[in-house]
Amino acid sequence: MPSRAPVCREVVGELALVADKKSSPSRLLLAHLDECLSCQAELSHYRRLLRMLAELQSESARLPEGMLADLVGGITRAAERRAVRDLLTSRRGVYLFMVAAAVLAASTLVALFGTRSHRLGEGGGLPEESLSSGC
Amino acid sequence: MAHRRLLRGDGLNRAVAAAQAGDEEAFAEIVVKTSPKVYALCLRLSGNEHDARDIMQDTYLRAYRSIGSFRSESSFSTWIYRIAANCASTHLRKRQHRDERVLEFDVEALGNVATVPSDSDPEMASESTEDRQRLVAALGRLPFSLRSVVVLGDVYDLSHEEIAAELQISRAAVKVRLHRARRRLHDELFATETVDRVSAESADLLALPPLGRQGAEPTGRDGSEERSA
Ligand SMILES: [Zn+2]
Repeated sequence: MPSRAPVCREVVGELALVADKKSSPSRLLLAHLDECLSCQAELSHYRRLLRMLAELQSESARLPEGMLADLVGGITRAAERRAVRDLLTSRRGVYLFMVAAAVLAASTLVALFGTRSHRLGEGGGLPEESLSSGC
Repeated sequence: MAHRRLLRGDGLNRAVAAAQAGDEEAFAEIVVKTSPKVYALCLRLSGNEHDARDIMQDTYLRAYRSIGSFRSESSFSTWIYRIAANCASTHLRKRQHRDERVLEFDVEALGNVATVPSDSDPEMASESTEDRQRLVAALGRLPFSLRSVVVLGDVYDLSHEEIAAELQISRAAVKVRLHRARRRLHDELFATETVDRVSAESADLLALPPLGRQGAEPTGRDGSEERSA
């Protein structure tokens, strides 16, 4: 039997992997562990190492001053950019954009046309401040 | 304050659901609630505050943009840890591309990572304080390629598949690196005990060959197995 069991130096590498119980040890390794105190101790070291590592997960870190504000500020800016993009790409957004553009164009035309007709029609009738603001 | 309410009970789940429905304030609550733990991960991966800060920004922006793709049947913590892992990997790779010096692992910065009081056995807790410090220091001496895998796998319990996906390496490479990292940590933490024990017990008593011969390792430390993976 001892000649068939893996020797310590062969199993020492496998111990690091089987310690997490996700990968199962071979029958030969199990048999060897039954009779080898040295490898049993090695395996218990690996299990202790894994417990220590797992314990680190419960730890938190104190954020440096200003980091939380920076993170939330970054999200707020991203949210604003997204809102603008959404508005421009959505159908309703495009519709509103076109309506707004049309209104703007129409009011510009009305203003221009209105001013010209004022000048043409009732030249001297313009209020004082309009005359002065044109200079 | 809304976030005080959310910090109690299942506040995180409700905040996640609300953020998925487009509530930006709820996303801010998620940041408040999760950032101390995510920052601990970022510090462990990067090893310094400067990089950890950038990785945090990237992580939460990515999380904000893709919160719609989070499925509630999985753990939100795991989801955000995966994003942080991916951002850390990308960030440090970019740094290498720009030929920038990889910043030293700053064990002092990890002093910021505070143990959350737990209900565990106080005797165990006091015994583990010194062990923890030795472990953190040993983690700091690992290169990023090994540290990232062991931190994600053995601290944050990500699967081999998840680690492979986020670090953009093969599953075989994950396994090799995990194995190598555990052995390095083991040797740093328990080497003296092992030497004492071997000399006392095994050589004579059990007539066993000495442990830890380089040639006996199934996984070469020079990366040979990883390259073939
Ligand atoms: Zn043995």
